Amino acid sequence: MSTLNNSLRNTMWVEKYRPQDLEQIVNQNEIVDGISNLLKNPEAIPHLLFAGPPGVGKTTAALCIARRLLGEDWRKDTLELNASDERGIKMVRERVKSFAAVIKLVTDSSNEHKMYRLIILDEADEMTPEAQTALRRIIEDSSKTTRFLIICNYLSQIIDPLQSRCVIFRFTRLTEKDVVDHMKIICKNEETSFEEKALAKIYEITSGDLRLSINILQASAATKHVSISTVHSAMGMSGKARVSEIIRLAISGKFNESRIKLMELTTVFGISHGDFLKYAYQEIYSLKLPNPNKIAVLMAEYDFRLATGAHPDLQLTAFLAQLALQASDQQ
Amino acid sequence: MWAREFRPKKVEDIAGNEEARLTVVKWLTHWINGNKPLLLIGPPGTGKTSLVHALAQQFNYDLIEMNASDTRTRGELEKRVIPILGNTSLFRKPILLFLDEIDGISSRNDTGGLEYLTKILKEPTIPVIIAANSKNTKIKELAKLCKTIEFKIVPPRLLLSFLEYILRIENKELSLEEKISIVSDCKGDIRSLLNIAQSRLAGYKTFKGDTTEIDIADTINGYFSSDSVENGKSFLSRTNGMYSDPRFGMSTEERRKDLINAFFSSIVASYRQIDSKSMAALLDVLSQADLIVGRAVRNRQWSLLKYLDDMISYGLYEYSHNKGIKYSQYGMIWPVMGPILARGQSMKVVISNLAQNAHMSRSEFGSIYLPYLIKIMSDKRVNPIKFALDSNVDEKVGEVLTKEMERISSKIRYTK
Repeated sequence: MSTLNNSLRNTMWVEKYRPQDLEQIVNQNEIVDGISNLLKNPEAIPHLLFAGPPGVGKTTAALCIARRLLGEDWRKDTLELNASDERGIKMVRERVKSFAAVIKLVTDSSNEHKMYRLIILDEADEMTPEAQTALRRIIEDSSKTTRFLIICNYLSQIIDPLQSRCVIFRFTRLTEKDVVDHMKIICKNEETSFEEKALAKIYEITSGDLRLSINILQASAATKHVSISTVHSAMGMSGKARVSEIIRLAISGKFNESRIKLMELTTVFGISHGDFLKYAYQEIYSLKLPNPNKIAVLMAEYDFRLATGAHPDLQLTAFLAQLALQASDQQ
Repeated sequence: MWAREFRPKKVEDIAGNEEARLTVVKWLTHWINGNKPLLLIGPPGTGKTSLVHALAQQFNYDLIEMNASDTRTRGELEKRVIPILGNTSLFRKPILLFLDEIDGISSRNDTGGLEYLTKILKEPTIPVIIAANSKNTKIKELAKLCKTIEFKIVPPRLLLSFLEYILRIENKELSLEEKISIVSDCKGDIRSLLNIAQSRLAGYKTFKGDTTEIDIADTINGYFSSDSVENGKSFLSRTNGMYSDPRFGMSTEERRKDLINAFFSSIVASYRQIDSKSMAALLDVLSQADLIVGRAVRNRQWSLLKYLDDMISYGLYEYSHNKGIKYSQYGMIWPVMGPILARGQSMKVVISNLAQNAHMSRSEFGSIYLPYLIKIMSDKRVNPIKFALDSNVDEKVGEVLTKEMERISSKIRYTK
């Protein structure tokens, strides 16, 4: 048992209240039923593919499955990889292949269901198509011993041959009631009072991302009371809020401030250049600028340049300069 | 040619790297069947090849050598190496196998070569020495099988006395100033020292590298102060800078010579002199040039790079001349940049230690988890040192979290 895990669980509500059993997962009933049915016959479990927005329980469900299939020692036989950290074909070749290649020799008859090794591949939509293709072969070759649990936000980014090798579960966005009710349970448990409006506000900002919601909730609860104003300052701490600030600075013509903040964001908080553009798009969209079509073209162009070019800092800084220009054109 | 004449004949004649040499001698004299191969890593001209030649000579081995000039595909290696490994009795003398310049093995043309070597060198039946300039990823697997010995560049003082020794033998004289200039030009490479010294005495002024090359800083300053595009372009054609992809592990020096980055940092550092329209236009030119660099690197289509000098020199000129843009290695002044880099270095430790336990990517963790962890630890008055200790992670994590927690509490006081 990892001691770091215990430390995090003692500190962070998001870990303390992370479901340990499939049945505890907030309102993905159809999915939970479907998976539970499959788990009844562990021998015949197919590879699984979970798709859906962030913070709805995909990774948690995967961990619950690992625990159910492999017991309390699940970590020993589970390889957890995050494709957005290592996205190339090298990761597939070196890490996935070598892990999948080891044949597990537990044939203890009382424990027959423990014969699999599990590979949880998170954010698989960040993988290059080349790496996904390599994965396809490995999945086939190792299916005697290894089950894959692939997780992504956008199913369309997963190549068809991979999709066809998995049973796909689509996780849906949580409703306001689901998230708010869950936060209320936590507040009650933690003897924390709250303004109803504050919880609604959290849902509004996080678009139903339960993990982010709980983090904001806890960060707003320093005084055991969650109010609109504590929620406001807590949401200002996220990387997304920092991206919004950078975009606003650029649009208001403060190019230099915005690029320094950008450098801080990627260097200090390790936020990837790709995630920056993703959050930037959400922010720009919500700002409702006068010519969204032009901005969309600009975003698409720099998304492409970022992926193709060799200097990501240059590409994003050039993007900020274009935004500043758009803004000064309109004045 | 001095470089050949003065190639050391004995192990003790080699300059520098005493300890490394001693280890190699011990390894060979104590060698028994199945011992790990030796891997000598070090920059050019530090005596690796000379050492092996001298060893074979002094300890009476038949030296079988393969270097970058030999084809090293799997088939070729099998043909040459297998008879040696399998049948030593054919030869009267024992055999020493030397694979030089192993990092020059080409993944394209020497198909399967490295993998094959890695396989057969697991338990060699004869002593094997491998030499390489650097431990790159290509030879990582191979390195695991070997005992690695590092060769360092020869220190200037030793080079100077070596040079004086050679001059005595040759009965030649040079001023101290000239000797120092030779030593500094050769950059720790003894072979190059001999070549330079020989040509200096013959009356040529040669440097390691081309004399007409302009350093990156002078290139950028020269370009931006040129009075015509053509003059500006001439700086680019003579620069020691290069077009490269800094994401593939490069040294600080190589990164400094990255042309795209040098133009980028110089332009943004001069933001005060550049209006927003020109800034957008300049960065757009660089951004497009960078697309070409990215493509050239990804597809190994180096011929694309020839368009870049024109793209950049003509593209930037209109918006950049007479603006007083000066070379700057970094895109912002050091008092701003330094703390960000330092903080980034320490946060990296925290993120890499904790992200996986939160089941998140590093980027996601930095965005929606880490800031809250710091705030919540500060609210709950968790002792970060104890937190790191209990968690069994790098103790630096505790130190960094302490600093970050102080940061936010001072900020709160500030805003109140």
